[in-house]
Amino acid sequence: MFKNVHGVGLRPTHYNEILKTSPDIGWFEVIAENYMDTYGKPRRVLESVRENYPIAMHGVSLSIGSTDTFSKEYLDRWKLLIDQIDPFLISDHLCWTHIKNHNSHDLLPLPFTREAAKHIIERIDFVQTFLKRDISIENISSYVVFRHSEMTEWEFIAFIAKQSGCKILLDINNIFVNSVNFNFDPMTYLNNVPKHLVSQIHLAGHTDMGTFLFDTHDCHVAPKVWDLYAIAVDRFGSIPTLIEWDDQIPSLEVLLKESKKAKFIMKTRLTPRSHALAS
Amino acid sequence: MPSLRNTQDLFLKGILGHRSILNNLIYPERFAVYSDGYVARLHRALKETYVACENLLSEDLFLKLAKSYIQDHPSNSYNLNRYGEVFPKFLKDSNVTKSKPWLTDLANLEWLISESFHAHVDCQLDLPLGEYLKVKWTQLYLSLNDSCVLLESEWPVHAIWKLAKQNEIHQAHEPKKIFLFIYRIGDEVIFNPISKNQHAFLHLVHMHHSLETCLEQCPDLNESEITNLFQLLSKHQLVESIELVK
Repeated sequence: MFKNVHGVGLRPTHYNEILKTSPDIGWFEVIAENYMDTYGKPRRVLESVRENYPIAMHGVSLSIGSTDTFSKEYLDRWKLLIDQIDPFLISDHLCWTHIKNHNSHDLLPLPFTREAAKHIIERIDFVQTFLKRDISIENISSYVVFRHSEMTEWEFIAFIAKQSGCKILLDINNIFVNSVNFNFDPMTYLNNVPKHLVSQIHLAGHTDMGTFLFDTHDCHVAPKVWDLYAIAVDRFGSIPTLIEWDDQIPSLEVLLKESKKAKFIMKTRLTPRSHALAS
Repeated sequence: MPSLRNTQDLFLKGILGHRSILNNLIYPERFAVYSDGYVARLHRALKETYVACENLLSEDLFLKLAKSYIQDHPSNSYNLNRYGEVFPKFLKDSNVTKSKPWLTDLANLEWLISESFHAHVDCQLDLPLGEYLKVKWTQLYLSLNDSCVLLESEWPVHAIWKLAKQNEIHQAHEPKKIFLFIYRIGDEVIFNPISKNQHAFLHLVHMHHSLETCLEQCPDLNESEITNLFQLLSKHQLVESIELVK
């Protein structure tokens, strides 16, 4: 599908440089909510960038796990943007963000229960029918778990994806963060994600808070996350991979270098050994 | 086992300060990530919209006011840009406006700038003024694009805003009645001081009265004022549609 499966997030701080230099990158990912309600500069930039690059559309407010009904206004505006931009992939998070007219603007954790899974499967079906397109759901980083969870996180996401027909946006950093925060082996997680359901990979930086890791998206990808990415490439193959950097955003040059690192790792892992040695 | 609904209800209450959810959690000591994060996100949204207000109030006082506002005003939109719509009124009802009587209007200006920045400008018409002036104004209706808004204040808030944005803080300002016409050109929001008569005229245009009615209700609007106004509308293509009703 792409010459280069590696992309970066489109952020306002890089708008002018991207428009001016058309950097060598496979694609851009945009946060859907940042473009749904604006018709000023952000929208104009997105339309210009779309002329030259594939776009992945990543949402943060679908609230697929909420027990509130969906916001019709949200769905309508999201669909309108999707129809206008025609992204190659649409995603949001396996979480909930609002209930009872309170929007947390945060990705809140779900209990891994059969009731929650059934609820989410029904809602994914509703959304996919409404959009007439598949969506991908992303595993989130979290800091607490519910005592009444009935399964592991990887069982929960795999079950939902298989039953609903949606895809998985696998965030390698989030797997690593959660593995430290909740003391499990990240390899177990990776090995239990169905190969054919992974549509995209996210990589980002985190911060060590002493007693737990915090998913801050404000620094370079950690060495152990790169290691895990290499193993994910072995398992899932040439999957579109994004570098997320949302706070303390560096220069575009630094961001592109981080993406090139992901590209190098993928190339190294996917090149047959004999060929790699010969070249 | 608590239901999903009940779990989410308790989690939300936890974020808002009632911590019974903690009994349902492993690692409850980390719950502050969510409760502190909630306030931090909404505070940041207010900071981004009300930059000049924060500069004038100081970071600490703005944070204190923001926390109080957040407690009583949950965000009920998926769009953080929409958060803070009634912050100007909240400021008006607070003590800070006693020493800074212009603050409410300054906040109103910042909210309108944000709205204008994100507004949908559907299509931009060149106003063929000469052609349309041949038509009877009873039949003509103008629609300005959504970035166009009006503000009236007893204080020179546009000047205060410019100083505050550059962190040039002057506590003393003299009252001065002003009328502003706010609109967007390209990516930039402009606020143009206009006369009282022009303000009244544009207000009537906004209310979708015919141009003739607008003129009738603004008897003091002189020829120079209306010419300048139409030149402004024409130059910046602020008219979205012209309706001719026969």
